[in-house]
Amino acid sequence: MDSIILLRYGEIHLKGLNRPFFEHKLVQAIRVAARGFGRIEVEHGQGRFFISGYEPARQEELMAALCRVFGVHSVSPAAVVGSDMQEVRAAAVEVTKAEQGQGGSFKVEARRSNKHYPLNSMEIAADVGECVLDAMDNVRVNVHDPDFRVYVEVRAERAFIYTRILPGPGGMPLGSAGKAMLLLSGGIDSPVAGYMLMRRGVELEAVYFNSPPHTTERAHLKVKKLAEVLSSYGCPIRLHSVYFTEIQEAIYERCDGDYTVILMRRFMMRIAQRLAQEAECGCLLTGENLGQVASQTMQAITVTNAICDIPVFRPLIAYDKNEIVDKAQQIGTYDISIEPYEDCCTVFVPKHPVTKPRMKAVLIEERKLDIDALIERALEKSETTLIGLE
Amino acid sequence: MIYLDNSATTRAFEEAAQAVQDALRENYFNPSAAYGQAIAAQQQAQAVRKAVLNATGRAGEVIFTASGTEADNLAIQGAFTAAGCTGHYITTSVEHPAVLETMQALESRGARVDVLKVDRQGHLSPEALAQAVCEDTVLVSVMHVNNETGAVQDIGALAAAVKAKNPRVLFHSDGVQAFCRVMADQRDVDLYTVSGHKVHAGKGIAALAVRDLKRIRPVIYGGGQEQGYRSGTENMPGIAALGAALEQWALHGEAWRAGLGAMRDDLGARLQAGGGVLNSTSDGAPHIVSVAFAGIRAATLQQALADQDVLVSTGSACKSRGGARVSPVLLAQGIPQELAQSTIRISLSPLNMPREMEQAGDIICAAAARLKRFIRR
Repeated sequence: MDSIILLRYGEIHLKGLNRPFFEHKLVQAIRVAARGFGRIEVEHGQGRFFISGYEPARQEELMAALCRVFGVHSVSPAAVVGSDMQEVRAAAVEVTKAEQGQGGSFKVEARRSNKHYPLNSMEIAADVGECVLDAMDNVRVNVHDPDFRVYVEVRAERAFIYTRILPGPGGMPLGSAGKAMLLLSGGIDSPVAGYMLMRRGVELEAVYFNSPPHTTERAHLKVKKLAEVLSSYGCPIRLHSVYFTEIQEAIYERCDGDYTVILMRRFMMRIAQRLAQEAECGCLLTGENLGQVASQTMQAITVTNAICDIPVFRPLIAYDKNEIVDKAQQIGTYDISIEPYEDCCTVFVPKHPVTKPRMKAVLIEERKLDIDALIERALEKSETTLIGLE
Repeated sequence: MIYLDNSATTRAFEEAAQAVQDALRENYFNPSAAYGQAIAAQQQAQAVRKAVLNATGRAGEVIFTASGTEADNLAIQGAFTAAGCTGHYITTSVEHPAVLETMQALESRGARVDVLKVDRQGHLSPEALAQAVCEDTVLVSVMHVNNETGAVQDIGALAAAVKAKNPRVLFHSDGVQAFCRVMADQRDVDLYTVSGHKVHAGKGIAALAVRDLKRIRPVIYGGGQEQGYRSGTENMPGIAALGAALEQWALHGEAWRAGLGAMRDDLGARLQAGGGVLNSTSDGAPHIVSVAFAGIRAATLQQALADQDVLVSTGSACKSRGGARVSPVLLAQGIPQELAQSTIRISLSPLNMPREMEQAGDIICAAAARLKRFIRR
């Protein structure tokens, strides 16, 4: 009895004429995730792919890798046999014993793409259900609310039998929706924002604002580790570490203390936008969250947003902190984010930052600075690192 | 580079590195084997045990371990087990985590543990300690030299006071930061921890000096090496390196200790002139300068100095991985929060040159002066 992995994709099947483009991107992403598992075969089905050609002993490992691929709705390990009912029955019993040995109530769900098959779907289900019931002492039928389901799919010459469905992340395949420039701090929010847009098919570059000695080398390392976790979801990430010290110090020394954060944020946006345009990113991406801190009030976001010509996506804008924390734990960035090295935002924070900045006042403060020269020097002293494989 | 983080670790002496090379490539025999080469290895290990006793001014036994932490565990857990996993234990609030965490572990296993406070100089008085000793006290552990402030405890007097109150009590001292640099009257000290990598012998070799082995039990069991108190094939490269380093200390120790003290005083004066507040005192260890520049976060100053190739640490190296947290040891010594979070530790070794104190002093004071402009408002 051979085994394959049945992989279902989600939203892509809603696409019309450009569906092949999305399917192609998904196959690419599957191949990236399956690197190191040998030469896998990917066969198209309706709304699904059939994956074979890997080492059978590593099936679970490969499924875990596929469950991280954006665009994947779910995966199932399936037994493959000939479409003859005799073989289907035997396989159904074997698979159920192996995967649902604990027993309980069950239901058989059958479908057939071969409409000339001697039995219809209902008949296949009843037939297979009876065999499983006979073969196992600890199972009973419950078609309304079963503990588990046995799935039988009969195709032209083959049938697939499975009982497990592992959820994937959903979303769209990476690279199907362009590229974003993520403002990545060492905090909890920005990596989650990055993940959320990646899940919508967006590739990332990231920018980190480095302020040595006010921030330490370990804080920088922490950001690199966060970028590495994000890149493990399927694409390498170019991390731009911008030398921000001079800008921060200039703001601190020359401008009204209450405005330091908002002025800093505007510099960050300017620099991120410049890098985004150079790297052909279509948008900026931040972990901003309405009302979380002084720089994230509606008025403050209005002021920072005003210097951007390209869209700024803020996927976390309406999330509660605990929801973001949950998400961060789930995607594996939380434990890194809570390492206690300060990022550049926390060092120069005034005790009473302005929460409702006025544009006019911000512009007056900015007149005290040579913005273009500061940005030029910051970019000159910046470095770019490629994080992740490829 | 000016390396001023010798309490974190030291660069191995040339002689120690040579000894490692020799033990790995030439005399690589297992000292437990039966042939002549193995017996030579065993004798070499014996000689190094003797050197450890000489360097600490002690008699008794030496059990080699892989780290100071392990030696502390052997002393504390070993005494706890030997006492039937019960009884009363005393330590101080400024100990290294190797002692404090181990004591906490004993507490969770049923021991009574008292953690005594120290004064502003980091000292524990023999009277206060004696007062805490009970009828069922099993062990007292007081560190010899504090790894963050360099404060030196008079372990001779402390141990004597404990013994006067209750002669059955074991006195342990973590001497990792003192080893070779601060001597003590060891007559009443039953257990003493030392480590190789703080004295230029490299990492992975440490020892517990023990007066009476019957008072402790092993923590690690196995093939019965180290008289059954620490099983596992002997780390001969480490032991050889420790022997080589101790030879150097035996030859030059006196001059080095004087030199360290002079460098410490010189640097301390320069830092004070630049606005630094010293937590360490001249009666402290000769190699540690603990200094605060009020208002400047220690991590920021440390990074600024690292950018200029002057390597120091914030608190102890074991703690500084935790980053922004304020040292509990400094707070326990009564140093105000504001100074504690601005404290860097500078630690010297005989490989430092007196002229480096002038250079480092200038660089540190200049960095502090610059960073003073950027204090959180």
